[in-house]
Amino acid sequence: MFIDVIQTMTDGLMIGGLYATVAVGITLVFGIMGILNFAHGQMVMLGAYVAFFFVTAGYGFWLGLAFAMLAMALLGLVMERAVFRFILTDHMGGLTVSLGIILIIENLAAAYFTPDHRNFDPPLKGGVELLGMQFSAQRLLVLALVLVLVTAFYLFLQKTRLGKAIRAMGQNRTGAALVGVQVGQVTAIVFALGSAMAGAAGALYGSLFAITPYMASGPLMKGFILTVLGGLGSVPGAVIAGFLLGIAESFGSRYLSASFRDGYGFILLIAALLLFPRGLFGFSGKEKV
Amino acid sequence: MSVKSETAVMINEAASETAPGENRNRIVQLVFALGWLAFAVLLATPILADSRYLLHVGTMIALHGALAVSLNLLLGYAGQFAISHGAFYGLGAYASALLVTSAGLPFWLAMPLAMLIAAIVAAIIGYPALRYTGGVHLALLTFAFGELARLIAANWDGLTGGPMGLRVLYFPEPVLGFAFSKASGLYALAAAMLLVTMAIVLLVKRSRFGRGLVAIREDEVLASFLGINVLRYKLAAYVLSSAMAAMIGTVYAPIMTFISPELLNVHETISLIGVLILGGIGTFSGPLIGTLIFYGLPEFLRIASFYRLVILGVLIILVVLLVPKGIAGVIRQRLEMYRRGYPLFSWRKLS
Amino acid sequence: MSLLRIEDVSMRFGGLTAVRDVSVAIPKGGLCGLIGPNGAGKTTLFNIVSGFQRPSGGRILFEDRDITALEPHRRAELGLVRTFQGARVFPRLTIREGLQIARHLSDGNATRRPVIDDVMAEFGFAKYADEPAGSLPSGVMRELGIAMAISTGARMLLLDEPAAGLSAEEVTNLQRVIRHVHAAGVTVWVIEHNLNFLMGLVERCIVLDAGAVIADGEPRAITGDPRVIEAYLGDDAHAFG
Repeated sequence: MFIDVIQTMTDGLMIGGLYATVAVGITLVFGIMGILNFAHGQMVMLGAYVAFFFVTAGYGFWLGLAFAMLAMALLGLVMERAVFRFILTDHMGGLTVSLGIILIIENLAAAYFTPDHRNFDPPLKGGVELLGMQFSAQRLLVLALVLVLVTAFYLFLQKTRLGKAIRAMGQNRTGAALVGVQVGQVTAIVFALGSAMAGAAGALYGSLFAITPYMASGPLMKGFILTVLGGLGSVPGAVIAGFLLGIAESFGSRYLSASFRDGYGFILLIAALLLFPRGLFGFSGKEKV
Repeated sequence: MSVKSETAVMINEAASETAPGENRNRIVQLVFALGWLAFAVLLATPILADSRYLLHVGTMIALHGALAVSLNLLLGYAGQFAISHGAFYGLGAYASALLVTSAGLPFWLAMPLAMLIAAIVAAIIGYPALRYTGGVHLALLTFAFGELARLIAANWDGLTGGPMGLRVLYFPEPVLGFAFSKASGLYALAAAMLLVTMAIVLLVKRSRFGRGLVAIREDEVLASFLGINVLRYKLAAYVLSSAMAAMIGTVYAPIMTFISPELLNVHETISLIGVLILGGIGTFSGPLIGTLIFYGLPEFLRIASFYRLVILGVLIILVVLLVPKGIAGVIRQRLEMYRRGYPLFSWRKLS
Repeated sequence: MSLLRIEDVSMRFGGLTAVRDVSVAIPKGGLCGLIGPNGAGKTTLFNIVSGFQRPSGGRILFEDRDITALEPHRRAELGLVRTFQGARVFPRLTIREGLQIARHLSDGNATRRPVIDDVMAEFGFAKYADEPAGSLPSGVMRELGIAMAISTGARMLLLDEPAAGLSAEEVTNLQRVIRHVHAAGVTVWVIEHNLNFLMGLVERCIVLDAGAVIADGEPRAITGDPRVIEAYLGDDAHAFG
């Protein structure tokens, strides 16, 4: 029983960390730009394909992960410069445009990558025995990686000059511009950064699950749930919510019903909206009226 | 400030010109009349031509037109962004098919029941999301719901037939001797759905309820201080729009004789939103124009379905960035300016 | 008989007290002002009265009915309607549409609602009737805000700095409009930063400073009150212009 709980817990943390990696990009972009980017899931999907092509071409997982992040950062930069910067802070316009991008990316991906399921060999195989318990080595690796990624992302926002500029913009765009923050540049960087996190999440998803052109909606749905649970625009909120959701899903599907796995988050979401209007942790989200 | 005074000057110019002739009024009215005549002709064509192909295409266009019209009530008039229309369309199809095949109910009873189920589900989702100002919560929550609904349809094999879908082997019972078992009957049914949703939206638009929705779209806070119960209005719009989607879904099942989780794919909803954006969101004819262009043109130009979606994606972005009023919005504005004495075609920037 | 009664209302944000034990009664048919230096709590008090914010303590009575917990739209239905600083109108809708919306909203006060064409004539909107409100000159936009509030069938209007930023001519027009509305039987309470605007307009003035009422009386008496002068000089000597 105890062993079972620990294993379920580890699994929950792993999957929750993966969700959090997706969500931090969504919530940061919303907080800074006021744009709810529905095409974020497409970045996860494309990131998974980049990793897949690198790994199958023999460059290995680590290069694949790095290039997935790099490629998505570039794509994010292009999208921000070409489209999103024209509709900053227009909630509905930005959201609609991102829906258009979904149609473009997903259908092109389906045409060029074919709808076939793809897999690549994870860097670690088999199991690890720890304290008399069996763990999947790759899952532990993913857990370690998401912890590193999310922590690095958080520290970047907290400690670096650029991170502080970004947070200042989240508080007050005009004010940040007045004290000398290059608002346009920083906005583009935020978008690229969020997209890079999506690319990383994609590579990690791909090391565990099947890759298809239609895989985007699952991670996106989880990312959205965390964005609301954590309080719109709050990065730490989304991360904590991610681990909570992962654990809830893991225990729910282990001890209640596995086929209802994706329903737990939704119920949590509705309950949280009813009971905690400002997100689970009271981080005041940025509700721009 | 300078923009404001400039437009004020324009207004004064327009007002001081000689009163725009009765002629111009008549011409504008004529344009509208011709537009609706064209609509009537298009609607009658599949029946008159009696071609299986035209009946099939016409049926699909009419159904999508009805969906676009019903979504426009929520997105266009109330300004609330929900991404669950396809989910409720699918819910209507599945619920009615199960009620007819498993519970043995007559179709015409299954339809209102399916609508009722959709209304209840919409109320449960809408209430928590719509308490917030700004609309982002509704978009997030309804997207999550749409995904969940698709997963349920795909995974609950015992009830829904899973990914393989469900065969539908019934037709709506005849009404007043009018049978729905042939292609022309099913087309008439789809066309009736379109007309019914149009009638509902027209009634709403003209009512106090409709005016309240427009006020909420324009400024929720001001609307509430003018005495509108904002939450109740938004919720009513979401529930009504979703119930209409379910109604159209109940008709879809016997028309296609097959339903599958693909019906609930988010692309369906995004396409509908694209149709509204393209045709002119918040205008009465916009959804019809958008549907004709998106579902009609490619059918006759034989454009493969995936290109159609890619092109729609590009169009959505271009229209939002460059002509947010959409086709119908631009036409309406041009005609209005013409009526007031401006030239019909000019590149002069309109306010 | 007082139409609006504010009893011991306080508003605290964290450690900051924006409104402190304010008690004010506005009589039916009154035309009153609310002045005070920046940050005195004027708008906060209006927000509390109109339902935008819940007070930390005290209660609000409208026609002897406790409305402290009512939503803004319920207060508007009862006839207590506010306007916002600047001009909050529906910028993309025409004047006529805006007035129709305002007129057709709330239940139960059909008899009080004026006819749109009458309102348009009274306010002199006829030549703008079908223009989008966002394209109007700012003075007309302010008047539209008031006209919309009237069209809901308001018994009492709360006007939040209606004259700020208007030209002298527009201010005169606005004063005329307010007098007209008042003459039609609507109780009016106006926030204003500039005392000159209120001087010739209101019959009574309430002065707020640091969240508390420091004076209440005829405008002429107010201007001589040393506490008022001190409050203003400490913040903004231009108030007497």
